[in-house]
Amino acid sequence: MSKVEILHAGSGKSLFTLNAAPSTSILELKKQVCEKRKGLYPGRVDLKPKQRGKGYGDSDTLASLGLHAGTKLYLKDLGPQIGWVTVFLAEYAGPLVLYLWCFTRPWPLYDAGAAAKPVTTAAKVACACWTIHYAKRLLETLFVHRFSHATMPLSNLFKNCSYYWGFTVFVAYHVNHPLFTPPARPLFITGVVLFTLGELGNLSIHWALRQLRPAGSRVRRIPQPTVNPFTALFSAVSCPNYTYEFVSWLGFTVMTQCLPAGLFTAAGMYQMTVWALGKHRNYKKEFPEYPRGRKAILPGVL
Amino acid sequence: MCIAAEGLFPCVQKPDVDLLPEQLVFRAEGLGNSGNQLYSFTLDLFQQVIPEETQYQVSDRNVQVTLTKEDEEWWPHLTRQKTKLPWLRVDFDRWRSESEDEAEGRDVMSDYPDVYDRLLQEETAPRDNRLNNFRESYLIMYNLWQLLGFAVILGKLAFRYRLEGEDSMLKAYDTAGVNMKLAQGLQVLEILHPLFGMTRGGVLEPLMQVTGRNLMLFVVLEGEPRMQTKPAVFYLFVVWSLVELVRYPYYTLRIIRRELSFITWLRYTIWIPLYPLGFITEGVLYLRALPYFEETGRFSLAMPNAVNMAFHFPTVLKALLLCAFMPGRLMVAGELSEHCETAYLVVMRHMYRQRRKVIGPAKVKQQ
Repeated sequence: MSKVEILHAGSGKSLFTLNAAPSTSILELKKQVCEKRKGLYPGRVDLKPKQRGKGYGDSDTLASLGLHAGTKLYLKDLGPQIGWVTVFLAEYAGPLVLYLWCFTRPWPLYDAGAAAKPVTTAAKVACACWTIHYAKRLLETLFVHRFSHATMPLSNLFKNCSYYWGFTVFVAYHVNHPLFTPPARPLFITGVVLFTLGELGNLSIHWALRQLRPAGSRVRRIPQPTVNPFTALFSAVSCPNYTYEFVSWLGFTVMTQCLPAGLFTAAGMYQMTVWALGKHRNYKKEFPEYPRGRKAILPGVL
Repeated sequence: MCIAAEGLFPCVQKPDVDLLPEQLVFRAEGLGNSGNQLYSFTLDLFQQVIPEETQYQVSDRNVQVTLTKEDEEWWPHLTRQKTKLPWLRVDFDRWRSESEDEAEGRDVMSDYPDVYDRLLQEETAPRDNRLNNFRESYLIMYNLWQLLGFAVILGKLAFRYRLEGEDSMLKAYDTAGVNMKLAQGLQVLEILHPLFGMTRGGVLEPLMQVTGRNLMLFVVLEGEPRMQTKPAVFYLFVVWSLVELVRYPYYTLRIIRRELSFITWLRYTIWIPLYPLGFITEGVLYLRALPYFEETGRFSLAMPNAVNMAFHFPTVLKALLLCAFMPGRLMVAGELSEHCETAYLVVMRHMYRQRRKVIGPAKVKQQ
């Protein structure tokens, strides 16, 4: 039996020591930590080699990490955790419900009598598109995605929901407004086509990524194009799902000619670009044979 | 007579030294960041050397090349050109000067103090020394110009107050409005300075201050003439100017690496009365402006329009005020949420922490 010293990641102070054998896993150590500290559960405990940086995985053992007797580990409380699936469902159910509610022109948002005024075809189609998009996202969360992580910090729930729900009301208020003016026919058709292509593409990529990762595992492999023509974009970018998502929202903006929708598209694109650049960097670090010509999110550009 | 040259490489294979009478060519394969690469450099020597008498030794960490000069003479520099190569450094341990031949134990430093100092300065100072001087000169000029600007504002206000008494307080915008717009407008540069690495510190603090002040000045006051004659504008201009009158001298002193303890004390103390005064004054002005903007509809956009967006400026202003002025933080699920703090609370706490760091906590009485 050897000793592992546990230090507080924030202050660097020594907290206590634990008993461990080379075959002891990180998860078992975390459970021991939770016995010493009430209110913690393994999901919110991070054990790491340095004060800053990433923690060890639950399934690693002391032997597999090359840690010996007397080693020091830093303990960080990640805060109350919530399941990823839970967060995604809340994030996407909100926009679905809220947009449909705004479509009915309710009294808190509009004047009395607004509901009786005519609704343009463009507004109806936009509502259908929005609903399809978020219904698709909910179904994907339940049946398609294989998540790398189980939980995330609770504060993320409020941050993410504020973003999605807030933007939903911002966009929906304007598109469903009685004084909404639809774009010219050709633009409208273009928007619908772009949206459809984006949605189909995005779904194709999600499906391909699912096929890449066996059930219950967390392996990562280099994604490659499949028989589905939409997946050809893998040859050009690391994260074509984000590219297609951008195309979808671009389509929505064009079909509604609505500045709030444009702002929503821009905000989403910014965040997705940040994620894509990170994923692209990780791919290149993890796979030395990663194809050189691929960009992160925009073919040939970024 | 020899020159020893030393190259340091991460992992060198097959080093190849080629010596022509006036050139040293070095080639090697090395394992670097991008994998196995071929490295090489060419040095044009000051004068001729004897290629046949060149020797080089390869050790684990470096390659030592010894060159034998054709003529026994002192070289002012190794290369033919006087320009300094960024990767070429003098090893002062082996430095030998002219008069050393007679007495071995003499101190090299005293022989050519100017040359030695200059070389040391060039070797150890930041590479872009000229750039650094430009940066410092520019910042000093900016700070002094702004200091002058705000001093003029205060001067004008004080002068008019002497002449006209309390009546002048209704005419502050008329008196110093143009000066204030110039000075505040120029403050946008203070966002660019940390952004381009010219000063240390974050971009967020200057961004918040400049945005807040310019919103008040260029949108609320400029956008509604009836606001310009409110007495609160007088207090606003005075408070803003007083803060800057201390901040800019403090920065200038920092740049020239001097300190006047009085200025430092002022810098970290004057915010205690002035920031709250500033918040209150700005709050009063925003509240008084709301009905005017409801009436005129300025900065508001009504539907229908080509971008299908409605923007009601007074509503947005109210939302901003809520975010900026409401005290306290949100308790979210029993955990304090960092993201929902009000702007002014953040600023006050930041200054308080800075003060403790610089001036220190209240001293305990000694027994």
